[in-house]
Amino acid sequence: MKAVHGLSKRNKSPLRIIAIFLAVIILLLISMFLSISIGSIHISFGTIKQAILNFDGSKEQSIIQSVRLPRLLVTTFVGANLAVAGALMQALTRNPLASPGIFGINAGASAAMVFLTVLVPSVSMIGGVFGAFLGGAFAAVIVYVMSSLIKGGDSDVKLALTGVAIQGMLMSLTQTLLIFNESKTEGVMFWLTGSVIGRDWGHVHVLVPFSIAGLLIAFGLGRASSLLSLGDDVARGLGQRVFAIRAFTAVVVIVLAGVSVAIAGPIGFVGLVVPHMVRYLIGVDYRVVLPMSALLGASLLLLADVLSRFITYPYETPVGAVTALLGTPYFIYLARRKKTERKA
Amino acid sequence: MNKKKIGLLAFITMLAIGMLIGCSSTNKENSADEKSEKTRVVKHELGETKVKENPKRVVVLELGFIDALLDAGIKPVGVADDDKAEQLIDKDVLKEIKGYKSVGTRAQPSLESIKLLKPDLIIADSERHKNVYKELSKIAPTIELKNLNANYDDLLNTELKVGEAVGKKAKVEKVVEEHKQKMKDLKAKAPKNPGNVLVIADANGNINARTSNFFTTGVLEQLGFKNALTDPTKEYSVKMTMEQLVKADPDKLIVMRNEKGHTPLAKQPLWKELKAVKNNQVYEVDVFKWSLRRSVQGANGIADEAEKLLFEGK
Amino acid sequence: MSYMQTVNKTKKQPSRFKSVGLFIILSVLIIALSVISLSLGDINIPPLDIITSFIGIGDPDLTSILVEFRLPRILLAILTGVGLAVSGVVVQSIMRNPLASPDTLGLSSGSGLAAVAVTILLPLASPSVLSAAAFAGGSLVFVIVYLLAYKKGVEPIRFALIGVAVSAFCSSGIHLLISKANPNVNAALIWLSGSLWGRTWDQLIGLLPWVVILVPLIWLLAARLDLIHLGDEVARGLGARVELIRLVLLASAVAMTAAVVSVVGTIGFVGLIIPHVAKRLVGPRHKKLIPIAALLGALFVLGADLIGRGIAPPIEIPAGLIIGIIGAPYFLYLLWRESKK
Repeated sequence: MKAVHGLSKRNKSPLRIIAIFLAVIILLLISMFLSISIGSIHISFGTIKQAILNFDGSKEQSIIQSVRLPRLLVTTFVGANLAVAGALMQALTRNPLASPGIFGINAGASAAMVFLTVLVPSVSMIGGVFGAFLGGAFAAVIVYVMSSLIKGGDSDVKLALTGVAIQGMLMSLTQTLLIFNESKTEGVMFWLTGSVIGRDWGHVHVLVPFSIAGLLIAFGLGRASSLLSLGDDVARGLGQRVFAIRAFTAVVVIVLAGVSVAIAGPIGFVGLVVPHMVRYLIGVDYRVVLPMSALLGASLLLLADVLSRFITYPYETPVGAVTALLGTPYFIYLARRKKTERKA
Repeated sequence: MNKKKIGLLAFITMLAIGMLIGCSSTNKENSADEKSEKTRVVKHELGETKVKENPKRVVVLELGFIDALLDAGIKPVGVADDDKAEQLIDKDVLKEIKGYKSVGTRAQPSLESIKLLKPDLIIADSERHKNVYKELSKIAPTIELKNLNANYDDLLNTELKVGEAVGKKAKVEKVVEEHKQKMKDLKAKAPKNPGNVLVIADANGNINARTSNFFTTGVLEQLGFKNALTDPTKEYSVKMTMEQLVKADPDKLIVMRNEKGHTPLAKQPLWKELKAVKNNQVYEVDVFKWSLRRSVQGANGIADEAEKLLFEGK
Repeated sequence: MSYMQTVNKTKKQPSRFKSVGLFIILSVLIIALSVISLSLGDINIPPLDIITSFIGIGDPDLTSILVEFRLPRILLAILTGVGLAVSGVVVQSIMRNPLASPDTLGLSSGSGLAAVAVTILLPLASPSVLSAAAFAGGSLVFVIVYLLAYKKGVEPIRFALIGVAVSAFCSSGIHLLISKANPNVNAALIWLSGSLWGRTWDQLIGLLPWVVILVPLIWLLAARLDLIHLGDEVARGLGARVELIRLVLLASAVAMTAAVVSVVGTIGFVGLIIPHVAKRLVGPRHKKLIPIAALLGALFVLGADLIGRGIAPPIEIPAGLIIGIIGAPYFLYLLWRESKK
């Protein structure tokens, strides 16, 4: 009961939570607007309003409809997915350093993508996305299974160690393919940094259903995650079927992160930093942490994407580089602030 | 503990002995290398090298050098071909140089293989092989020329240098002069106001546009086609979004591909906003001919194709 | 696991390997592998010819291949393995974290970022500039991580957190630079994988002093290190100057890793895997752990380079890639096999 008491003690007041939610929602809307209006051709608010109310096929509206809108949707959902996946990972492993990458999802998707690019150059977009997703999922499953096969010892350490080993192997494979196929890999290099450039409605149609399903299920896991984050014993003591929940959570993480990486390439830091920010703002009740992570993750990735259009104007920078640029200083700040005893 | 210390000592001793042997043998090697033949000094990207008057056994470490060497009338005895000769070397050229030995990848050619071929001359790429210039020079006189990141002017210079190095300066100068004349003739035949051109590599639906630093755009500029990409940059290729392509709106669009079928870019809704699409001025070409064959012969090939595709009056 | 727990564990199972015997076996293996390495390649040189070459009466071409290309490369592989493995042991001990390695502290990515920046932004720079930049980059990033983690002392967890963050930051920088179209992206990729191609006596002589001086130094401080394992409070009580020793050890490990990386590029995994393997063979006491780890590391890198060179001559696969592709799964296999006991 002390644990539950501790849980509620760390929560901030409901009023504050609602206020923060509103603030983040406003942030999200602003980011969305910026994402649509800014680019090599600036589009004013008036034109956007027109496009929604009275679509007339003009060049600018065409740009909105076929380029900016899908890019907006992809960025929004990828940001939300990664942030939620990261939060779930951190609850699952009780490790503040955890992010979907640890499972090897990024490395698996990258390896699959490069593999396809080299062996099947004419692979379709959908084919590439599915290939990357399968690669990421496959890697994650291998990591999970192998770490369970190793008996004894700290399960977090085993998972991380296995993850690092598998990631290393996949990255080496990827690099081997890249090095020995110089002439074929021009297209994939940008993808490997994590980028939402050129994402169109086809991508959206794949991303959105999986994202919505995954996110809703994740939100449903809110209470269970809070308890898991306190420790397996505590959770068990409070009646949770620990093994089932852990496995289920892992599946949700793989789906959310996997589909995001498959579409946008490996974007880092969102899954790592956003949950920290959210927990700092509203405490450790995952019933609110998860939805808030989705909103904040989406906003931040949108803003990063807008920034990425300016850094080397008129050419674009991969958004993964921008998230790293912004995420690192903040993460370092977090690491210095925290007291070492604090658990996720 | 004693045994361990002895082990460690033995280990270090072995290292030391190895080094001593190494140093002494290297010295012996150098002193035995005095050649009594006539030599010529050739200036190249990394300095000057004394090259034999008439080298017969030449090893080339980048593909563009093959064409230049053949223009000088010499066949290479060794080529760094990534073990992918069929994919990377033109069919006819491959027939001509048959019988050469592969020395490995262009990125990491095998120094041993090169040495075993007992070459008179090594032609290396000044970008890829600058770090092993010293080691290559120990094997044979080495010149380092621009090929990997060569623009149009570099290409011509490289060709001339190769000719100079193998003692066939006049022969190669003739090839270059013929090329320049060809370009002049073609420019005269070209439409007067051809507008601007954008050359893009379409990889998996990504748009990688070539800047003026790239040798293909250099060739086209010689023919009077300006590059639609005017933003200054030091790079040879930049990634573009569909939006930016629409903004650049070139008169003619050249899409380099190495896959069969039509470019997936055509399926994008904004594609039809392009001037070039509306006027039927989009040309899909083979990326090997237009991007990977960096030599005067390659430039000739590009010019020929450009004549076929781009010179028709509107 | 605290030191006392470790000691108890090793007392329960008698050491399977007497460390001295193991040392000799490993040394013999290294010598055998070196001989094989000397004889395999684009042209296979039988051992008899190797001997005649070294005495000085062999075929001059074969001799020069052995002496100019293969021998320095083999010795360099050994030094690399020794340097990286020993650094790994030190870092894992000091950070009390089995996942720590010079890579995760930002060292590899820092060197990588500096090297790739030089390769891509300053293409005319000479190779020694590249090495110097890599060394400086790695050391600088490490210092930055240390300073950022310093808050009335350095706690391992905070150190690790910041190291990972900075590491990821540098990795992004590297990816970004690489994604910018550059004709010679391949060179950067190969450097990032770690390769012994084209390394000869110059590089070997450059690296030798670092390893030969720092490894014994680290080994000597190993006894002190065992005390540190008891945890800060107890060690302080024993009068050991904990922070200072930690700093010297860490600085030595960093310097040695930076030196190795500046010569061969960022080979990963050696610093992570070898300490684990060595620990499971001879236990955590550093007097035995460090020499065994050194030999295992040498064997590992030497083997990887041999495979990379020998699989499809004249094509060479960078040693770092072999280590990643084969080493990582092998590591997992070892973990699994050990756990079944």
